[in-house]
Amino acid sequence: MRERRGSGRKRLLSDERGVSVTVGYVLTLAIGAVLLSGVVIGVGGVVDSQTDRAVRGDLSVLGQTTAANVESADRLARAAEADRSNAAGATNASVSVAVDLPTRVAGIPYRITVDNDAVTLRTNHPEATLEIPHAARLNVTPASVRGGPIRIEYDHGAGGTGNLTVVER
Amino acid sequence: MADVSIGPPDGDRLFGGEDTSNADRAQLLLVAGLVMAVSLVTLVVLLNATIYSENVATRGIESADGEALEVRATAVDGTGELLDATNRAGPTDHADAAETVRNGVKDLDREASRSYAERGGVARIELLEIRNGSRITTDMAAVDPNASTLAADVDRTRGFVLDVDPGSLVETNASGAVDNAFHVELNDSTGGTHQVYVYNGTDGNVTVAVGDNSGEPTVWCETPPDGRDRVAVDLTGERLGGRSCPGIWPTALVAPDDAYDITLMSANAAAGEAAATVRAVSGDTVTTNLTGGRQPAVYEATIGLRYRTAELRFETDVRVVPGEPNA
Repeated sequence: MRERRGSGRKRLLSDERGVSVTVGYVLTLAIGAVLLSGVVIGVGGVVDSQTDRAVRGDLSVLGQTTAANVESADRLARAAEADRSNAAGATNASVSVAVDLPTRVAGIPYRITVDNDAVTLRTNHPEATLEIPHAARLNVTPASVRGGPIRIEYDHGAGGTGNLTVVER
Repeated sequence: MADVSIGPPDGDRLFGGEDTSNADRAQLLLVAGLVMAVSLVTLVVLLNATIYSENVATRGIESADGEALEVRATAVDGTGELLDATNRAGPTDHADAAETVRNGVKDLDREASRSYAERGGVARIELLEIRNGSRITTDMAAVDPNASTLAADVDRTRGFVLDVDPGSLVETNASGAVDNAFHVELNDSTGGTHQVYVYNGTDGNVTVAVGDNSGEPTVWCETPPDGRDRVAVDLTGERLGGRSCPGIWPTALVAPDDAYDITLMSANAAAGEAAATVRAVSGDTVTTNLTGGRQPAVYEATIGLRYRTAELRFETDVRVVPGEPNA
């Protein structure tokens, strides 16, 4: 053990501790490390669970927003097709709805998939998938786009009706 | 910066040398506090992100969506009323009618542009095409009691309304209606004939019955006269006395490829007026036996409709034909 400065009989006699300074220091560090680990693990778990909840909540909100806009575009497209002129040179029925969505949810990128029945949003870490059914009557071209600002488009000129398409902006 | 390295024990750091108040042992607490602070900030950021997302979700394009539909309704209804008003006013010729419609659509465009500009949208309505026709009105008393052609060789009819006096209608039943009741005969050049009978049923109700090829008709709708002077039988609008009566206009004649004739039969079995706007299969003027009641008219108009906002684009060309039977 290293000699302490100023040590001597008087100091030794007045020292009432039962362990050496080194042991005491190591114990202090160990206890501190255990406490710190506990805090990190505990708080980290809370953060992870809250992140998961936030991701699912945000995906739900964004899914509902996307589905509502798909249905709006569907209403507008059907209105554009109603009594549309079939004369030669007539303009196509054309509808475009821009939707501002965030590029990340709780700091995590995500993807949006649409088809005839539903809007599906998905993240990889944490792995979360949320499917929101929509009630669009026109066909929706199946597509998968990165989460972020999107545009729902309809452009049709021939007889019958066309398809709604979701693209990135 | 706090020293958190684990090295050989330093007596001065641990005990503060001679002055124990200088001991330096709070690094771990500092680190723990830092970790907790960062975690709490992360939680707060997550919470705010969620609140923001849910707040944003309550917005959307619902209002813009509604506005585009409103613009369309305004343009179509406005143009439809313009066509009817123009035809009712009795234009001198088709050119006069077309000029009136063209000016009316310009006014409509100006008003819509101004109104929607105030709401942040750009609306544009323009007249693309006009199809001419004839508006034929007649009093039943002026019609040949046996048969009178209201319109011959037409391929579209709209606004075909019979305003009949319930007290004048012959009282009969479905089987007797073929010979006795006033009826409209629609002679489809490729699909036989269709009859729409109007008479007073044995229960006193104004009755509309529908039949094909002069066979016994089927009672379609009834309405009590309720002391009214006139009951409207809207054949192309498919309404009786203001109530919906779907199916009285033959499906085959909603958008036929071939021409058909409209004939008023047994007109002495009803009193009132008849009016229709018709489009000839070729040419602008429709052939009729009731030349005294024929006026030049605009049968239909095609308008280009554009509406834009920051988030939405809506474009279409709409065919405006008020009172035409629905497909």
